[in-house]
Amino acid sequence: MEDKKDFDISNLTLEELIELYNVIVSFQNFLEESKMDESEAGNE
Amino acid sequence: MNNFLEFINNDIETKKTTLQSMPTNNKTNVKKYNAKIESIEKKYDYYKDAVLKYINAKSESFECGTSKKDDNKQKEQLEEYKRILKILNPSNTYVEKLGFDSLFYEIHNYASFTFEDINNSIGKLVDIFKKARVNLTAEDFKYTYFVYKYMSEFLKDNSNLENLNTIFEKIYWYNPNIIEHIELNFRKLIVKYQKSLECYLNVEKKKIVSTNKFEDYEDFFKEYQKLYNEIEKANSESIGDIIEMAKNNDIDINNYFPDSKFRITVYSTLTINEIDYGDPESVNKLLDTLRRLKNNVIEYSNYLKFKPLFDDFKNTYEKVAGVEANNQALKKVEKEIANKEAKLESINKKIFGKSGFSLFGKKPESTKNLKLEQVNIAKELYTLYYEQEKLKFENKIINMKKESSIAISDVLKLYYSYDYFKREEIQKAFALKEYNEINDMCYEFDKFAANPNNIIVNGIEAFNNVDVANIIYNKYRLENINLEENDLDEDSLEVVKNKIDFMLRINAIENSKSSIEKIWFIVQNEKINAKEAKSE
Repeated sequence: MEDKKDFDISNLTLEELIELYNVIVSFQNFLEESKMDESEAGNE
Repeated sequence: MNNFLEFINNDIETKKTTLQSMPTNNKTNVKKYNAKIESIEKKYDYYKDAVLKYINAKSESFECGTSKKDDNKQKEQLEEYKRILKILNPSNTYVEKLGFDSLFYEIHNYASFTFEDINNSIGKLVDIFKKARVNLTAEDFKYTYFVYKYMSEFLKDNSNLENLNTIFEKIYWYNPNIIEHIELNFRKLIVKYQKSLECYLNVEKKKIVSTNKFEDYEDFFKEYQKLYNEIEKANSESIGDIIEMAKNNDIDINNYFPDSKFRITVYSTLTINEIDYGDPESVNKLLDTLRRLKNNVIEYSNYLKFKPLFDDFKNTYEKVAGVEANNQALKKVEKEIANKEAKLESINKKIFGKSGFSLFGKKPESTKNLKLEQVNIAKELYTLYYEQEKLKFENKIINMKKESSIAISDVLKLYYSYDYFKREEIQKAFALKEYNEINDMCYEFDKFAANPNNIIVNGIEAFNNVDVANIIYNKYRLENINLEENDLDEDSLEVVKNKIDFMLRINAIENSKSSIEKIWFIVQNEKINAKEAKSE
């Protein structure tokens, strides 16, 4: 899937806009939690 | 793809799958995995910033601004109208109209004030005379030797607090009741200069009538009512206020959506017979009834707040003596006052004749005794003056009782007109001790009494036990409002008021440029911004 540099959110309803924000924040949290500690990883 | 939300949902799924499929079995792979996460994070930071910017801008466009409030000009005019009403008030005398009684209350309760405050009050008393072209001099204050000494210093052009304090210190240990005696002296002066003071009042009245172009008190009262209602309307809850309340969590905007459980319950329990909320005529009729009910509920809650005062009034004046007995008592007190004041005067002549004006130097023993005798007579006079005022006030009530039955609205007017007795009654009925507490309560009382739209209190007789709640309950049941008797219990009134406000707010939102959804959006934006600010 391509990244969107220019995107249009003007067609979203008010509820969808808030949902969009929440989805993004929730994914950001997921990403933060998914990070791994390199020092704990085994050697090749 | 239809919209960006769908794109994001799909993109997230794809990216999650990608991440899940990446090997993390060694340091190199973990490094690659973390690098991938960081690159995704970068993208999503960009998305979030853009979405936030858009949400903020949109929310801002929905704001309505606060309503035009605090119109100081109108409020100043209302205060001026209140002053005029006080002057035109047919129920009180020149003493109350000119504000003497309020100042006497302050002086009477001098223990609650600073030395500077008391001197300011004395200054205000002198100023009232000045307005009436009576320039008081030290000669007017020969009530007792000590009053004369203090007021001579007070009236000097170069008088200052420091000098006053010095002389007060000296006098106080000879005569701790000096302030009470200053009050007595002023009470005597307002009788002595009654003509000048009333003449000044008449000139003021004429000025007011010619400037404001009205005919009498009743006529002016209508003007006052008009202005009062204009200010009330300007200060009533606007759509801007509703938005602010929603933002501050004072109301939960989720309850306002048509499908909310709360709204459905309110709608279904508010009326006895269900009404058609789709029919504007039915809704307007209901809203009109609710507005009246709200005013009645506020008035009733004020009535309950001051019920201890009304009860005390009933207990005190229900079996008050007849006019003749009261007049006789008044004459007796007035005679005693005259006798004692004549005695004071004769002692004054002896003191001032013998010792001149130096007080604390060596004096013949007889002068010292005369001064002490004066202090004792003044002490008795203080009680007598109070009795006189009280009897005059009682006379007023007896005459009111004679003319017709006294309603609670009359009690409100009475105490609103007699500041001294109002303060005293509030202090007694609510067992208050602190001056500020009494002041706050008086402010609330005046606010209640000065409301020209009071209706319920006109029908409640002060000396009868009336079930006011039942009267309101019956009236609104007839208008299809599903009130229960216990809804009008003191603790439940707020619930009824909140329910009415809820209905009125829905109407205000629906008749504005805003909508429940837009307000909900503003609230969400507010929460988001708070969250973002916290995470920064």
